[in-house]
Amino acid sequence: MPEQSLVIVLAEDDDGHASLVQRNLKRAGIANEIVRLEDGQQALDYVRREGEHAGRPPNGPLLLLLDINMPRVDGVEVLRRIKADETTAKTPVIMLTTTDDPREVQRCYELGCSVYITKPVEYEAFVEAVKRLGMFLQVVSIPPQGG
Amino acid sequence: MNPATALAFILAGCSLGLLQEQNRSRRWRRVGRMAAGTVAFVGALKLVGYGFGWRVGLDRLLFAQRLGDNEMAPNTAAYFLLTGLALALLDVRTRRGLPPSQGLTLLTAVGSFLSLLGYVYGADSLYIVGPFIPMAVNTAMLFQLLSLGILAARPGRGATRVITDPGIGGLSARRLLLAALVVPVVCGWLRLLGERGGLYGGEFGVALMVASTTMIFAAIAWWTGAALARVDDQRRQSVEALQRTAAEIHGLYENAERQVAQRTVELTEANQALQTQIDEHRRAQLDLRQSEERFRLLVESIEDYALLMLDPEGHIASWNSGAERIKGYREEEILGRHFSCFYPREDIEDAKPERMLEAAAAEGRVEDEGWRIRRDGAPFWASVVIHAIRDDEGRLIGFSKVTRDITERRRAGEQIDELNAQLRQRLRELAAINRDLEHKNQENEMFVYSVSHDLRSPLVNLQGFSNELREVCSDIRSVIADHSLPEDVQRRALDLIDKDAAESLHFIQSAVTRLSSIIDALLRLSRAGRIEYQFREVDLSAVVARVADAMKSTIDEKEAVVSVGELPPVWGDATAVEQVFANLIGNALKYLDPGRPGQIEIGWRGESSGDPAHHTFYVRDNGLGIPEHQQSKAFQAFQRLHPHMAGGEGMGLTIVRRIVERHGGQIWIEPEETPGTTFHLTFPAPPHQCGDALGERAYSNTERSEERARAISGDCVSGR
Repeated sequence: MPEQSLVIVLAEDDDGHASLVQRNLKRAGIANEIVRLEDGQQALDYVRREGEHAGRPPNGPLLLLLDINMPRVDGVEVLRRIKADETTAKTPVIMLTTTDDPREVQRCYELGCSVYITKPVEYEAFVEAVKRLGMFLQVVSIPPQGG
Repeated sequence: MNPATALAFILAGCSLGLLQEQNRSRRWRRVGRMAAGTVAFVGALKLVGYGFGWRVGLDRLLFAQRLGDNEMAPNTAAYFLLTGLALALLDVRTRRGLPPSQGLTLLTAVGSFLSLLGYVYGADSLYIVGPFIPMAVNTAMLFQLLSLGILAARPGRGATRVITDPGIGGLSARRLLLAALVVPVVCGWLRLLGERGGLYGGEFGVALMVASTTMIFAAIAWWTGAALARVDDQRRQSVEALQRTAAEIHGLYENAERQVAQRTVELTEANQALQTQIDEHRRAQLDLRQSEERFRLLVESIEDYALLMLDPEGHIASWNSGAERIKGYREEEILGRHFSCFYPREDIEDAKPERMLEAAAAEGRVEDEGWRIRRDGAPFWASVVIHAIRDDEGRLIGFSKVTRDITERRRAGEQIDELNAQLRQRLRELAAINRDLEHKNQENEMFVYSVSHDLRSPLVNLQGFSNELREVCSDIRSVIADHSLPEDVQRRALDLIDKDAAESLHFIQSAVTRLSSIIDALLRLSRAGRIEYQFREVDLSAVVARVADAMKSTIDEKEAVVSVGELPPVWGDATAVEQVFANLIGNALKYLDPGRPGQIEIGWRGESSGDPAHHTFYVRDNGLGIPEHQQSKAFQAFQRLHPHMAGGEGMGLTIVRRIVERHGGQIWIEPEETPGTTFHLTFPAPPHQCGDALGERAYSNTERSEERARAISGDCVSGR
């Protein structure tokens, strides 16, 4: 059912990085819809069905892949706001970023991200992580977004 | 009474009066004695007349017509003789016994008393002698009185002495004598009266007389005894009091004697002490003279100091050779002048010399440095000390002045100050340069960090898409293999894929790998500079042990031996320190000589020479070593000596040096005779050994080097 299946939201400003993620996911056999967004504001709007994405149809559970270095709103801020809002706090978030500063890592985990992955990504492990997370999410019932 | 008798009595009376003890006039006494002699003569003449039957006498001479038969009685004459002699001999004394006058007088008294008794009792034989005329009663009474008077004339001698005794004896004598004279007479007279009146007979009368006499005498005796007892009591008490007083006095006397003896001893001792003092004083004086002489020689001999004495007003009282040398004046031309002549004009106008003396007088001593003027007018910089000299009572008797020419020293001092200022300036400049360099370093590191970080992003794409290309090639190969194409087309397509594309991809990928590795290394290097350290005491032994343990598999694989000596604790960031030793030990393991068993040593070289705040350690291996001409490049980034032996970017030592420098230490390669490499590195010691927290927070290198400069200059005292 389209409403129930997991949507992967990818917020990444670099087209190359985004393309790589999408290709790898596809190659690994993940067929879920991948929504590509280009900065943090779009990510927030999408998740909350506000702003640019105000009129989007509601969907099932979301999985966020966030880069940190994005224009307008960066990944950490998106993470914070997502986790601060009760309606969206349960959304799993994977940080995908070049920064490997341990303080940054610490901060993201404190804010509630599920995984922090540094680029360049070892795609096999990454895909595995996504699959597992997805399966986990399918099993656990998550209230549909925007419902 | 016979007129001669009357006359004789008159004479005797006059004589007695003249011979009283109070009468001192010799003339009257002689007259008195002559009168007495006349009386005796009259008596003697009459006696002689009686003896020879003559009727001679004074009365015959003077009153022949009216006399009739009246004559002086013979006993009267005798008594006149005795009395006259007694008067004449009134002053004759005897050594013992009765004085002659008293004896004669007593005879007269007894005799006349008897005559008187005869008249009282009617016994005429008592007053008549033979056939001759009797003594008249008034004569007898007068003789009694006269005798009494003669006895009383010299009361202090002989018999009268007892009567006049003021004590018990006199008291009892007087009472008893009176009684003895009166009572029996009265009792006898009473008896006779009674008997003649017929009242009672002879025996009764005797008994009565005896009884009355007895009783009266007994009563008198008792009365006298009582009085005597009283007197005696008083006397005894007085005696006792006297004895007591005497005893007291004796005691006081003994006391006084003792005190006197004591005082004598004390005085003797004091005297001796005084004598000793006098001797000492004399000796001291001698010593004083000698020492004064020595002192004078000493003062004279000192040439570097001007030693002068001033009088209380400031005039020069003494001079020495040093004063002559420094100030230029000779003794004879300077004595007596005021010491202000050494001062420059402005000081004289300012009254500085007087103020110096006042200060010296008030506080005992005053010091000054200033310009003084020599005899030739040349100024010199002087150090002057003026002492006030007082006598034992605190009166000012003068000043002593010590002057030293310190012109040279002042110049040297000024030079030192200037050099010091220059040095401080140079230090400041160096510190500024250091800070500058540190900033530049930090900027560089920030730059490296941000660049390498930014490079990561394109790197991701490069890696990713070169991978994609490989996938694409592989997909194309499958497509080619799946479809039936003409064989040469297939072969050509496969060639293109497998050879050209694959080779190109290979080179691209290896280049990307290299790029990634470089970027990683740069990031690690910049992190080494950027990361904030947490300084604390690090147990170095534990850290190195941990490193060795972590590398155990590699150590065993290479069959190397790692020995760790005793390492003292250091002050630094534990992770960074571990990184350093991990790197050094890792390098040692990487570059072992395959020809000999690897030996890696880590030890402590003691305190850094000259710097107690740091420890020096060494990491030695017997591996391939680093040739001397290349040792300078060892710490540079991306320098690899043996690239084929092991992986790595050649960043390790660069990072290690950065870490060591950030801890305020140093690292270098120590040249050794044996093959292999020995690294020496220093780390700071924990602060309690220096008494100063050299690194409680993350110090920058500049701050630490400034701190170290201060420490070296002496602010930090090693408490080891």
